[in-house]
Amino acid sequence: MTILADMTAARADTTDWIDCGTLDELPLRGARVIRHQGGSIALFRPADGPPAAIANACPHRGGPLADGLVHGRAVTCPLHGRVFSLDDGRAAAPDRDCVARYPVAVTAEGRVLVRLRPLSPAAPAGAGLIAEAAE
Amino acid sequence: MHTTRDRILVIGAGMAGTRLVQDLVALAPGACDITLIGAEPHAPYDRIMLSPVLAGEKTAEAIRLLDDDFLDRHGVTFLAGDAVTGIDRAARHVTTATGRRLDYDRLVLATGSQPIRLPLPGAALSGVVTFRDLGNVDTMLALGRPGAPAVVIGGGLLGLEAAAGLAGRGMKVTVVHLAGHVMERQLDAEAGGMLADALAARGITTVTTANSRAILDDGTGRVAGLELADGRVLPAELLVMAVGIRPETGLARAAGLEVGRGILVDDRLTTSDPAIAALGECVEFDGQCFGLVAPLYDQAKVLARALAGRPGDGFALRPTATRLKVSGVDVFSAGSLGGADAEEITLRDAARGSYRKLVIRDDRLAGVVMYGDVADGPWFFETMRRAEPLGALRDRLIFGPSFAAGPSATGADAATAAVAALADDAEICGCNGVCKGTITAAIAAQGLTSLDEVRAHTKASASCGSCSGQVKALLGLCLGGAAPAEAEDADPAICTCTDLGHDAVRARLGELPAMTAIEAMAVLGWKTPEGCSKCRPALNYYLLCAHPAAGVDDPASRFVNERVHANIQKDGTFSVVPRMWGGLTSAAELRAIADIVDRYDIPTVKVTGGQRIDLLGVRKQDLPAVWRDLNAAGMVSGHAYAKGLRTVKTCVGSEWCRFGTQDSTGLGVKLERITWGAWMPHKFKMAVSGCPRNCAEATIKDFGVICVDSGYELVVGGNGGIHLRGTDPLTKVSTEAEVIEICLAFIQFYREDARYLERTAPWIERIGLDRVKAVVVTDTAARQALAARFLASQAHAQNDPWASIAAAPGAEFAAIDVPARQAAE
Repeated sequence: MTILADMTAARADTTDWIDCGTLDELPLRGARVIRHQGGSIALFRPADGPPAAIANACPHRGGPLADGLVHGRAVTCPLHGRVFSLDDGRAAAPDRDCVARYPVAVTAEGRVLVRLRPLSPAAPAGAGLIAEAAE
Repeated sequence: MHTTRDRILVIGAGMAGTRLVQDLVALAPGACDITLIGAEPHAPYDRIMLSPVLAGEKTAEAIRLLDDDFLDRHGVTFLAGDAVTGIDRAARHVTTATGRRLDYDRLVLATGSQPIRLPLPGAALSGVVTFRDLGNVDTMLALGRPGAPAVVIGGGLLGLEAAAGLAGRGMKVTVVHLAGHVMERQLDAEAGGMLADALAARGITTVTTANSRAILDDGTGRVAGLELADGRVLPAELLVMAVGIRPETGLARAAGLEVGRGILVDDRLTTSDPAIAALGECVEFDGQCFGLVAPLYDQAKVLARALAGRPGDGFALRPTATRLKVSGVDVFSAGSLGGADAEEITLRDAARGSYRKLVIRDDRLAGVVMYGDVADGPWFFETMRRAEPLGALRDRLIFGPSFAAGPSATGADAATAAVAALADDAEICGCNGVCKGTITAAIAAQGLTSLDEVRAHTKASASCGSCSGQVKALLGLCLGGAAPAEAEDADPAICTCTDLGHDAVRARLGELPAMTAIEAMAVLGWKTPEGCSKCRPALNYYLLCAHPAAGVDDPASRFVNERVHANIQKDGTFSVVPRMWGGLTSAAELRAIADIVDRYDIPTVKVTGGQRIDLLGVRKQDLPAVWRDLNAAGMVSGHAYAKGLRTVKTCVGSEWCRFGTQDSTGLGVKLERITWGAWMPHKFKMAVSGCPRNCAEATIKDFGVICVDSGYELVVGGNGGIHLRGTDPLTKVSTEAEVIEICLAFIQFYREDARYLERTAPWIERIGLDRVKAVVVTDTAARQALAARFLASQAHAQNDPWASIAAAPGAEFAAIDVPARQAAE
């Protein structure tokens, strides 16, 4: 499964897209941390579906979500067990918290890109992915 | 068909308009034909929760006030994204931007307010926004970038909430405020200063007594910073104006209604046109306009009664309380803060970061300011609203409500009586900070009937579980019966991913060939493809135990502690414990540890309760190097993170102690050498005491040995944890060889029989001490078979996990660092 990035959209603002290496360099059912000035982002590679990026801090007590257990397209916070969807950033019911999501793209060469700007909370689930480009 | 029901049209789907509709349908269901129209393209939402949405802590959906189900059930028509453009009072209809014409019998204006935009030079630049609605939040997110500077003009409630939201998204925020301290309308200088300190700790800088002069352009029409009157320039990629609001009266004015600062209303919220009412931030009543939610809800209640034709009191100004909605920063303020005839009582506890001030006038509480511990705020507020003379209460007032525990209710058990006597704000769950009122409210509102449901909804008792008894007692109190009996289910389901219990699963897995936990889920008909954080580690363990030689272990099915062989701490760093056999160490080891502490800048070194050295605060990316260096000094992982053998605690025994009867240190080392590396259902601790003085505290360990003159007393099932439990005596033997064989048999029986995450204490209480004795003491053949299986398993388990990962650390340990500023063209 490869997702082609819409590189025209990416090129429009290349400053915020971070090259995070190849998909194979991400631990399967695990994550890597992207550290930036304002904090950190957890970049996940679930077994099923494309990679996903969310803020690396549980809104409850700041738990590093990148260290959580990944099941399906969800992660359990390693500190106190809140479960977040990697696709929409929402906590599993009955919790109503959420974490910021970041757009992720996989280029035709298989490199994983993450954009530093969070998606709007109103953006639909899956909006983090850049759909296949028309070359 | 002509309907005789009043057609009520509410303009404005904000908090006032929405609350009015809710109150009206509750008061007179079906009596009116209600249409709610809002200019924003969203369903009504809780505007005071915008800051958590901005911070990414809540979704837009989580703050919705009305759902479709509510609208359907009550036949309320809701029109979103359409603005009313004109009112024809004579014909009683309104027209909208999209060309709708809506007739009404009664019209309600709930048009709210507009945020004030300062007329500074540069105010029209891109990147200058107000903080008022979800649209603003989206704009701020689109323009904001983690690490980038932002400036918020306005250090009032709204400004600080905007600042907290942006800081939550990783921006570097500066709040610019005209007055001498933040929230000066609600707080005195003291509390304002404490608040500024708390904000500084979250990376929010406050600049007070600051006049803004101009907003600077970056040359492309975007904001670059804010220039202050004293010449200082604060850089900003985003500038938020949160300096106040102005009632939105345009529509009312155009329709010829009487308008002052806001739309003028009487105490029934009627405007100068008897068919038109108004409420919320758009109105002016008795010379006052409104910005807080409490009076606006009072207005909704009064107006709903008026519209439903019910009698009742009119709207009156009442004191209001303010809380800052920034998580982790608690500020409470109510009433008036000063005045010539006011007396003040203050209580300041710097150590707890808590401050409170009471303002008393005419022997009545007139105002309260609280910072830090604000739990008593509602009680002070009630005291203030009652406005009764304080009298003798005055002396103790500052300490808050005193809880006189009433006599225990007849028939109730002690626990229930104790819980019943607690105040609503008494903390029940210490791990998650959940108080009694939160739990009882959730039980009532959500109809909760079991401990698990309370855990799920409130988090109370969801962590360590030590408050389970209190929570159950609360359930009993709320449900009007005794606490629900613990389900005597023989083998409850592991989690919601399956209907199978632990015992059933492990029986099946023993029959199946070796496979991974995720493969096993498919075979066993799991409801989720990859399980959850409860069942996957359990399956992983059961497979490992059943097939020790097959190498089925899956790190991704383990909790982070076991995945990275270190303990995760509250700040996301890790702690590392090297193994010290029987608690022994040497100068060389200590020297190596000291060097590693220096080399990796490890902040804390601590001796653990199990006589080992804990290196705390190790950064994840340093873990492989720390392990490598410890390995190089001859040390291996102490498994302090493991559901497995932790430590064997010892005393100095006959070698040094004048009372020692046997070589307890030597026996401890032997036991640790044989058993280290074994994965178990839960953590497992041992101790060997050299005499009955029991200096190694063997009687609170999973397996304890107490040396006596004639041999060794073996004890099991102790636990120094949440539920303190002394050991049960297992047997007495005369040789070390017997100690070791029984120890190995006991461990293996525990490994094969207990449920994952069940420590020996509850396991023995569940299956009975007699059964344990029968298997590992009385039945010689069974004991020897268990010990043999344990040793066979150990042949595959005794590998130092540090060595294998330190040799080739995975990508998980390497963070991707983003340069300070991505190369901008």
